Amino acid sequence: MVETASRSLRDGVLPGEFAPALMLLNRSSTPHPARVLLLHFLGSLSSNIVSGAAQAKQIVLVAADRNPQFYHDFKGFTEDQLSRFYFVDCFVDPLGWRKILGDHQLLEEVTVRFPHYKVCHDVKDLDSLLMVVLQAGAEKAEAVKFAVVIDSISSLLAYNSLESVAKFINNLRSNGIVSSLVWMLHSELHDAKVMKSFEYISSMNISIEQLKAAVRQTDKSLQMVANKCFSEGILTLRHKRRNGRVREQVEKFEVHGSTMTFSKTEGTEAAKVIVPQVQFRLQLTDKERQERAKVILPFEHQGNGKETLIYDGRPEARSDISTIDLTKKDLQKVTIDDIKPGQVEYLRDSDDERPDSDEDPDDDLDI
Amino acid sequence: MLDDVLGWGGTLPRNRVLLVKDTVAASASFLLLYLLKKILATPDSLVIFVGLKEPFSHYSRIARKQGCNLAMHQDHGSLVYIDLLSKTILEHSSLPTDAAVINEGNKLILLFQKFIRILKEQPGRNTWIIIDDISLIEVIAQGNNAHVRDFLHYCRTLATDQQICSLLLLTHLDAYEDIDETMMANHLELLSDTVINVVPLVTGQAVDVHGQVIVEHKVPCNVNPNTCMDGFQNSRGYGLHYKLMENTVQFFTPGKHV
Repeated sequence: MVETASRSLRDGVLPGEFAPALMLLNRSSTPHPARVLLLHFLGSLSSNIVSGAAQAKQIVLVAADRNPQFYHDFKGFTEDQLSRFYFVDCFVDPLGWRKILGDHQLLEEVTVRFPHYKVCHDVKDLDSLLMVVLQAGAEKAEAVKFAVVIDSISSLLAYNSLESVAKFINNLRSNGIVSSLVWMLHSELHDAKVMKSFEYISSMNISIEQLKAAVRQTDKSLQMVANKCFSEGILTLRHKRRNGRVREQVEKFEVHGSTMTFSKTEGTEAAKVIVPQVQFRLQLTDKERQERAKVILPFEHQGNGKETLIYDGRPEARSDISTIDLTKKDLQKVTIDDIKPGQVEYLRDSDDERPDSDEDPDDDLDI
Repeated sequence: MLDDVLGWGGTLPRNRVLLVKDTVAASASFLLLYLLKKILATPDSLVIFVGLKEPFSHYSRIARKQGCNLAMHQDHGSLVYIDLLSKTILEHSSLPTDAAVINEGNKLILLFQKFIRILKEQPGRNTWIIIDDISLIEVIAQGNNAHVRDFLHYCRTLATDQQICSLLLLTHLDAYEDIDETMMANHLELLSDTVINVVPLVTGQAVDVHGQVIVEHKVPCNVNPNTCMDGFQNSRGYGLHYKLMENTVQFFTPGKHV
């Protein structure tokens, strides 16, 4: 499932279409699994770029959630992979405080260490951020396509309105030179409208949820037991195809430090095999089915030419067994002759009292 | 025992955000001093303590009872106390006031500037910024949660590859029960690497147990697994009971207190 998303990012944009956009939706207060998943995508995309299989030739990473150093120091990336990264740092100085305070020392040091590095001092200005991202991607050669990864769109939403961030994303997707787009959203920081809006403008979204029950499943053999509390969970991928079909898949994940393993959930396996695997046959052949249809069950009409009368519990019917063999005509006759039409017989208690008297009949009860 | 659960057994963690959440029924001020003592006992550590709740004399007196001389640490330069209870934030800054105006009136930039200056004076040390507490920082920001969020973000950026800088933040669990405030609580949760909840016993008051601490790790850390197996677990993490003594605090696994 995650491979499907990776392939889609690798294949990139079709001419005249919007770039494929993957949203990672972190639904828990522990962002670690979501960050590891992002690193997984970064790793697969950058290795595809290095091998030449991907449409994109480099990755522009807009780092707003973590210091770019975090990605640079990540042991999962090789030197070749890292050389394809271009960082736009929205983490270290998103509001320009360091610029106001004249604290350039830190920024200069960083710029010397990484050649492909740009610091954004005003995240509120999304138009210039868009320019920086596009320039960064097209730095080496104009015709080259590149992937854009935003590690937390929640950080951009903290300083900008939903409309302007959505416009920023759409501008990137429709640009033509952006091959694919990945971003992460922390659902706990936003209301439902924001989440839905970004679900609409993404072509794939993966929702990451932790398994709360996993906390109790501790294993003494594991060295880091504490990690258990965030290590397991469920991924739900919603893939919107171009023909309008929406496909949803669920997968289980497990985090080991900075790597992630995926496995199919029991639910999806059960859906595949509807008939349980047993040693005897559960289905019938056509012949068996025809024979079964011929069997007359005891409660069914026996078909001996007479109407069946079912004993209804009346004692007279039971005492005279021959009554059961009466025809319908005989039955009607008996009914008319023996039973009088219904009538109510009423006897007044006393003649002293007239029925239409105004006197209260309960007057003597001393209530 | 708490050190094992926190993963502080050997050395202090680096570049971490530690969030301590307390309640009215179980105050976490003892835990703040306990952790402060631990940090100060580590060589080459530097603590920037932002005091908003109590005067320095209060912290100093209690720490001395527990065998830690804060005034001495202050003289040696391993503790920098920023008093925001009796002094205003402007008194701590040399920044022209218009700079604060430029930044949409977020006065907390002045506090951030103070941090930068201290870090520049003492570079390369294992620095911990302790804030007691976040709800009073909100008062400085005049209730503007966005300003507090920006300030905390900048505090996080102080940790670089040249500079080790961790944050220890105290906040109140029950102060964010309002629907409008939950976003701020969620933000603090997402920001932090380890959360310590200080809550009273579910069954009420007890003579031998004054409350419980529940430690929730959000990133991998070196926790002693044997201790964790002894402690109780719930959906949030690993829990220990505590008892406050006159001069110290005892942490123990439930039912193991002698």
